[in-house]
Amino acid sequence: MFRFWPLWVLLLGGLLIWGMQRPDPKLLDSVLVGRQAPTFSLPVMEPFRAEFGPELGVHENLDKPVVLNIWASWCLPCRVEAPILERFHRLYGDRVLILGVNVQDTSANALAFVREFRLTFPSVYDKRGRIGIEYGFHGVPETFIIDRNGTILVRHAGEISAEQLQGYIRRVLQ
Amino acid sequence: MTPGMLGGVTIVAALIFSLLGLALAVLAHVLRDARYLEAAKRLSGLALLSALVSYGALQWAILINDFSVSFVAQSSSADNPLWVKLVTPWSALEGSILLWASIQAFYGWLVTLRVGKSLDIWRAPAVLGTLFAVQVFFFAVILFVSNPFEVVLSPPLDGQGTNPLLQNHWMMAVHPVLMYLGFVGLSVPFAYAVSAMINKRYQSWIHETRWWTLVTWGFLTAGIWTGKWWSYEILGWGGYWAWDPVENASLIPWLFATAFLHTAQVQERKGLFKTWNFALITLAFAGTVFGTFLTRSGVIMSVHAFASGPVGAWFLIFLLSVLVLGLGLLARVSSEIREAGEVQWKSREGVLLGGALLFTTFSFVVVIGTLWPLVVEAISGAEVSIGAPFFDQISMPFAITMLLLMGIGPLLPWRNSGPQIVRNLVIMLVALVSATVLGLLAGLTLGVSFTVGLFAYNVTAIWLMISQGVRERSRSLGISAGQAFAQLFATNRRRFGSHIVHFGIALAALSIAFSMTYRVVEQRTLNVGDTWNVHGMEIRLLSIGGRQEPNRFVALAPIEVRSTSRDGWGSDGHFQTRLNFYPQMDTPLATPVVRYSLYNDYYFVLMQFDTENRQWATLKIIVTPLVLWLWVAGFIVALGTLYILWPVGSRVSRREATPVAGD
Repeated sequence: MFRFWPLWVLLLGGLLIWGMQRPDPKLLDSVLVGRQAPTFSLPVMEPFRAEFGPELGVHENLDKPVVLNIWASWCLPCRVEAPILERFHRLYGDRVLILGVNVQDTSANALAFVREFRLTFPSVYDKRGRIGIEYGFHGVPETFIIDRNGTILVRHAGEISAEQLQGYIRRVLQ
Repeated sequence: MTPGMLGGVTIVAALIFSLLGLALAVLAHVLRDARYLEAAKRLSGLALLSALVSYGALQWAILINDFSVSFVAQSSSADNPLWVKLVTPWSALEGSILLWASIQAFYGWLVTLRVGKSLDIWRAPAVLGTLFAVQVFFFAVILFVSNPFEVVLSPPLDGQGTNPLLQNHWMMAVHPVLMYLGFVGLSVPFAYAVSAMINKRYQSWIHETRWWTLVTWGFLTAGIWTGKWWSYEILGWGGYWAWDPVENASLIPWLFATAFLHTAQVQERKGLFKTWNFALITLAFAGTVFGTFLTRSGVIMSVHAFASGPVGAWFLIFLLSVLVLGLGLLARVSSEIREAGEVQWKSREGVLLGGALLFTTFSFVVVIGTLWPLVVEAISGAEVSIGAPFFDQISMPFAITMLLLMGIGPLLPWRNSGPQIVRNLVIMLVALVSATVLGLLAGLTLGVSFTVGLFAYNVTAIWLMISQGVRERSRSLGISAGQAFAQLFATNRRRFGSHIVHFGIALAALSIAFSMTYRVVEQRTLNVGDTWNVHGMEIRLLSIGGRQEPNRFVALAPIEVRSTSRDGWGSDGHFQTRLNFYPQMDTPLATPVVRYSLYNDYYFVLMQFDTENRQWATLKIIVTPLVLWLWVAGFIVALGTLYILWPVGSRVSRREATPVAGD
């Protein structure tokens, strides 16, 4: 048995390497890509009610591409993304709806987050985790790019960079 | 200078000092020049100093709520009480590896103090080199993949908070540190073994290595035991061992180290089992890396898993390197190693070898059981889980054989057994059988009765050994039995210490058998003011209330308990059952109230309550007999280990050096 020790070490190593190669749920393509985005309507956060009304969401007659960003005030990558999303909202706000969905959070913390980054793109509260069920997101942040016809083009899990967002927006505006 | 900068700079310094130390140790080994060895010793001190400063910087950042440091932003909160802030470094991945590396540097430095004394200058370079290499690995992991001191460009006003499960109990301050002291400590015996194989000195390493292994074994045992206690106190299911992959991972190095502690004695006295000892120490250290890999790679799901990341691949490379180095060296030298004789089964070394085989087999069973779901998935794609039933069943015969060997082993003389041993064995078997029969007559199950029998058998064995030693000594020196006992106890630390440890293990087995067989779980929803008669207790729900604490909201449901029959003995009192709500967590954490008693433990958990009108609450009670004795047993094992290790004065040690009757 001992004479074959390199074989045992190789077998163990192979098994563990294989174990680590198994797909991370974060990196799996969403089954929703290429399909119609689930529609929803959720209460708008207080600072945006005057401009966007009491409820907002994804629905058939929106006639605008949507960047759906799922965030929480306690998530560090969300803090990196917030200024980027805000910048794109100021640039493309008239042609693309950038919509934040606040999940797993308290209203007070979420409002403080909006104030801290002086966000002007609208966000909605998802207290009951509806988005989680319908869009099947794995963690925060996560971003869905939905084209003018309501089809999901991309699911981006994790932090999004300015270059990536630029690329996605260019695609939906073509 | 900010804490983040200080921490970052000192991590780089620690890595550089460790790399230089490694280079110098290699030079000292190749050139056989003691000046390089001296320099390597100094670098070990500098690396330790840098690691401590870096650790201090992390602690400092946590204390002053510096959320520009990534670790603090991710794993701490301004509202945390002081004690939580003090234990926060090891509540998440990056900080835990920094603590690990600091302890590694500390052990490395301790070993340098032995150079020129018990560690001769021929073996020292390879020992220090191995330890420096391990240290380089940890500091490199911190610097390149898991740095707690990353800069957060727009720092949040408050951090994400500490994992609620870990701030729910003070045991968080104890269990992980003991585990790390045990895990990291096994690198020292490994380094001694590597050096012995490189320098082809197969005998001189064993004495000091046994000492180091016993120290880390003590920490590991204490770590495993406090882990059991923690899970018992906090997880709300009333159990203490779930065969979770990470619990298994802590058991694997423990089993190998236990086997080594026994076979090392045989090598010390008889020069046998040299190959075994090299293999066991390599596997014990590889076991610690394997456990660390499992918790940090995301390969296997577990309650202990840290967030996974690229660290896993690094630990896998490290694990394979340890196995290749240890087993490769052993394969190279195994043909040269000459055993000093044959093993006879009816002798102490025979039983010790049997014990080592048993521990090794069981460790491999645990390894295979832990990895089996992965193997099945690799071959067939099916997802299976192997849980407690499999391990409970497989560990039973192992435990019984171990308890049987534990009784006989120390009683047998070295080499071959004589006729007096037969008499002792008969007495022990009589104890085994009569205690088992008494248990059955008292209405206990067969398994529990047999465990009672095994306990009696082991206690009889210890009593026989002590009484025979005392009788011989008092007769030969003409002193009273009391004096003889006191002298033997003071001079024969190894032997008496091992008696104490073995007694602790037998007591633990007894407690496990009772607590697993006769556990009672009941649940009931009560209105405020209602009483519930259950298992010899009358439980009254007094009220439902709540209070805000800095880091959590606490819902309280005080109850009054009165015992009404023998089943409920010792349960009387007022208890505050509670649920803790942490802002980071959707579901509340139950904090059980445990009423300890020498007979039953009573465990009260608030499961649910009426949040609107505060009219009702759902309570769970768990009654577990004799489980308190498991913690007592752990304490006894720790005491026995300490007794063996306690530094002896020169007067006593000289006496210890002369062989004593019965040893």
